Amino acid sequence: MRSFRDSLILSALLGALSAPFASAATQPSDAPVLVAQATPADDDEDDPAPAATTPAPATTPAATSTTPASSRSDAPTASSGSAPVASEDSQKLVSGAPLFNPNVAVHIIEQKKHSDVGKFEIVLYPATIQVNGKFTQHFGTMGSLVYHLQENFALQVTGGYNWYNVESSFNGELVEKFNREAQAATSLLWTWGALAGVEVTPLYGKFALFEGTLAHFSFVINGGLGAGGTRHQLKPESVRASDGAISPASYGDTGVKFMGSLGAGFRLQLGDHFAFRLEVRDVVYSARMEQVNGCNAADLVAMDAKITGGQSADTAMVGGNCQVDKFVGTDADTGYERKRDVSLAKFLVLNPTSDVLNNVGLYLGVSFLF
Amino acid sequence: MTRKTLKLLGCLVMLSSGMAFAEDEGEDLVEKVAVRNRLFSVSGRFELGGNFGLSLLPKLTEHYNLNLSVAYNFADWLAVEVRGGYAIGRLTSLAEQIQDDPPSTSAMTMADAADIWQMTGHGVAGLRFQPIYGKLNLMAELPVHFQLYAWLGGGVGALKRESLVLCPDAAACAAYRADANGDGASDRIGPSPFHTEYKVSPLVSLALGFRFFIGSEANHSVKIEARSWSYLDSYLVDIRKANVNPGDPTGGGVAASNASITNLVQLDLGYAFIF
Repeated sequence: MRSFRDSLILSALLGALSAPFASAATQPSDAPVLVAQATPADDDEDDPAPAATTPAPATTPAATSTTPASSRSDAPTASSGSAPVASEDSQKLVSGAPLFNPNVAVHIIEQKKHSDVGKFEIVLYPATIQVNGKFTQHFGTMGSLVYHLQENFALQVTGGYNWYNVESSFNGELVEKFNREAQAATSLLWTWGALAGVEVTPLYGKFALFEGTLAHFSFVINGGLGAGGTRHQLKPESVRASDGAISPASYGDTGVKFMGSLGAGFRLQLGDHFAFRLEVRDVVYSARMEQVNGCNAADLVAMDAKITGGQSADTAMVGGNCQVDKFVGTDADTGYERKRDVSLAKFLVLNPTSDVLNNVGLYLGVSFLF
Repeated sequence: MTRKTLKLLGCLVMLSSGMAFAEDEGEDLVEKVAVRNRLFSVSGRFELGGNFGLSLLPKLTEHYNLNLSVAYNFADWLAVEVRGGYAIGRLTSLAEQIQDDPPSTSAMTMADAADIWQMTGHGVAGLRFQPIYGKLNLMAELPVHFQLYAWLGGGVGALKRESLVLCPDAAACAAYRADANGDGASDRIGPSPFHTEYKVSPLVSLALGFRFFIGSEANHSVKIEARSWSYLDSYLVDIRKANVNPGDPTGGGVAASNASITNLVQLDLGYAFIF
């Protein structure tokens, strides 16, 4: 009697223990789910292999035996599919279903090995490279902080600096050979930026390298708004007639611009805490120039008039924000007279444009998640 | 706690840990098998395909490229492919502006532009290295199987170069640049009078792309790739403006010593039938 009671308790506990597994198997959750299907045509996934290369399993469970294996081969096959599945493999049960049964659908993609919910992600993009550099060329270093509110939705802050931002050699060729250059609007240079936005992850998947290493990846789409610094080349690099030395290009600060970005790319998961990112981002900003080095059109016209009259630019009456010292004196390293930038800056400001610029960049980065 | 109860608990712990282990082992097995069991195996199969490419960043020339391709997959990760086709090339509007409104400088000499050879007919053979096979889940419902590949090959191409500055026949040039219809732009009627050269050159082609399998059989795939066509550039410098005439269309110009390699980068979309 006592042993009968123990058996009842054991049975009840086993029943309770097995219930969560059964429940989990019916949910589209993170667990891999193996579903035996009587009708292969109803497969919403997956892995049919060429009929000629997929032998029927040695044993087929009763649940699937209503469909002949030869009617359609839906089996995942080992390696390339050309080798017969070993009989022991064909009988291998996973979560209660035969792994190599042709009529078993493997809903494996729905499993995400690494959950992102509630995690922070710090991303360093050591190299960002402009890929649409027709008239300009930018290289920079950027960083992002991402907080994953949900598995597929995150908040993101991005900032960085373009440590190389110059007009392209193609633009130089146009100037040198054909006395033409890009419109000022298309050659505005982007120096730094800070943007905040969101990131969504609509796709995820995994891949195998050869038949070995498995990797999980996500396809991410992000967008943001923010601001960034800009500058414009005033004088191109040239050879000084006096001594044949190279006179470097001069630049004027054209102020902070409103910016927006839209990007997409892949995030390759490397374990629980690291990831590799490859993204393409388009940063859009206004090309309208209203001031150079803080000097607006009226300031520059006044300075130009003084210079034309043989006086120094700093004798002109200008606004408080105008950095007159940027247009006065001689560059000690190159001997370049800074007053020559005034007429160039005036030309830029007096020819405003409503264009917007697209700086499309390739972002290569590494992430740390915690 | 009785000895019987302890035994019972011990059994339960062992049982549950055994089940957990089996579950982990199962997940791990499925995890590995589900991707390595390629739904679409291409090993030992041929492909016949068509591709359309367009210039990603046209500067002075732009191309629309039409290709046909035949490939054989030695293995799932390696294939050899032969591609051939014709690229419809043209000068961009910026290049036409330079032709229409040549630089008016006092210099006695001038130089032509770099990187304006236009590719026309071409054929290349190469290896497609496709070690990465994967699948992604579209909106958590539709699995899409793909291969990521790199392509490297070489061949020959017929090239055409229309100068931006050399227009030996002054009368024909004036007519070509005329604005008879008054729309503010040159009419550019008839064949271009600008000096045009042709050559056949070796080509190197590189590509990186994705191939997505479509349908339930491994017979159809679509490709998207970034492809570079590279060939040696050449152009003339020290062209004496006064000497340019029909008898000496190059004005005594000499080949630039610093001409490098033209990289024609295209976005290619393609389809392949696998059999």
